[in-house]
Amino acid sequence: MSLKLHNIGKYFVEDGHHHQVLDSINLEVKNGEFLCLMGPSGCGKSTLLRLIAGLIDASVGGVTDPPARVGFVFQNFALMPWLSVYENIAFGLRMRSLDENEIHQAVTKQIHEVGLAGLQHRRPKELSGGQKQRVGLARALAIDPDVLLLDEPFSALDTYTAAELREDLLRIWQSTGKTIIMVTHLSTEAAELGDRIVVLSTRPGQVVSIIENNLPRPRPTRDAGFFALVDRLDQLIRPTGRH
Amino acid sequence: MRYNHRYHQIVHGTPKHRRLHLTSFFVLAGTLVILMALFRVPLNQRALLLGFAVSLFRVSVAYIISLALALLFGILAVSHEKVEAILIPFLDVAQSFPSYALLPLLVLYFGRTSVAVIVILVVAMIWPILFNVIAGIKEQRQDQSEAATLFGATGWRYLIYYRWPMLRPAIITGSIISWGQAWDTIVGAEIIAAAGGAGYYLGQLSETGHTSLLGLAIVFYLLLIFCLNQVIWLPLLHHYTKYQAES
Repeated sequence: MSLKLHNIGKYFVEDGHHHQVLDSINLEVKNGEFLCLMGPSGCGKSTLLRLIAGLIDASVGGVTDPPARVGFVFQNFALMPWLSVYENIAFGLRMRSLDENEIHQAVTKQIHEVGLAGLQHRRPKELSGGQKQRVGLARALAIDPDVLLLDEPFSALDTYTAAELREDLLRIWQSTGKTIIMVTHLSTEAAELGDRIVVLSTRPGQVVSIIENNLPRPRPTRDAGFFALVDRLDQLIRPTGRH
Repeated sequence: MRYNHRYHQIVHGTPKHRRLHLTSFFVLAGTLVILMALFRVPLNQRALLLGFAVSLFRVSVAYIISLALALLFGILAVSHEKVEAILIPFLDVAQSFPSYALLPLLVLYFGRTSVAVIVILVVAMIWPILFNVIAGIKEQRQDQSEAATLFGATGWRYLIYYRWPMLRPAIITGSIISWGQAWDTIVGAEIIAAAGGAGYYLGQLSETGHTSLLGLAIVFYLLLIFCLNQVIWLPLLHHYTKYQAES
């Protein structure tokens, strides 16, 4: 079932002033699609993601058929520091009151899926950035989400770790067929991962362009087609490139 | 969170801090032994321990009430901007109210009973926990709170599985300060209310001119309080703050 964003607008009220963040967002996300959301800083990408997740409500419009189970991967991991790796991954399952066997099976599967074997008893404080984001990914996948939302998941990581995690995410997406919506500020990341790339304007964020990424997978990240797409995205995101 | 910083320094601090703990323990214990040797006065151990037990009971009851109220008002105070705008200034003024000023009224109402002392203790003990809880909630990371909600911790589950563990270090830090305030307050309260307990016992020793016994009793109580901190509070603080920061 596809996810439809219908005429979404969002504004915040601060000190009596209305600040419009999103304006007239219409978008359909296909089932099993990898969609990337891009746009200049402050254009409302993360707000839109939180809106899809149901964390905040739209001021205007809304999400048609909102997903029942949403997995969310946060930019700064957002792990529970007092819980072990195992318990962090199990968090969403425990909230659903699953029995211990089911929880154990699901958590063990994810621990192996994202490469955290042997680290399950550690606390977040004892992990590297890449390991923490793997926990974040495993926690999101453990609940078997209808949609996986990722908010700049690799931006807090070094280049090599980010590349490794991108590969893992692609592998997981291809094997599970989950619908993924990922916010990124990197054109190269969007070009490498996305089936479609939605570019938002500066605040209030409006859809400027939706680009079909027809480059074959695995994506040739060093060829002319790839760089042409990256250039096109950069042009769209730069304020002057919108005209 | 200035209290937190102080206790973090002590608990997680350098070996120098840990040595300080040991040193102060031996200084207190040594003082007790020397005093006993100097004055050669046998302590009325039964009265001494009974007094301490009564005071400990009162402080414990007052602590449970203070903790419950602090959590209730703390969570309420930051639950909504409008509530916060009203409640925080009120609490700020209320915390400066001199608790002893209430004592005559309480004695009049409750008599020379434990209830009067416990109420005074609550008035003195609640503030460090309350303001630590408020600071703890205000300093919480928005994304962690969102993660908890998004993965299903809503309603009472949010309180049990997210807010409570997230606030534990702040509560324990506040509790340590709170117990410190309590020992300070209870001596005065028990002397004024004449309702038994360690304070009352110390007051009687002072009134009857048993200075040496008074010195011994004070050092003895200090040792017991020191041990309570060492055995209960500091290990708790160490345990719950060990992994609290994600990075």
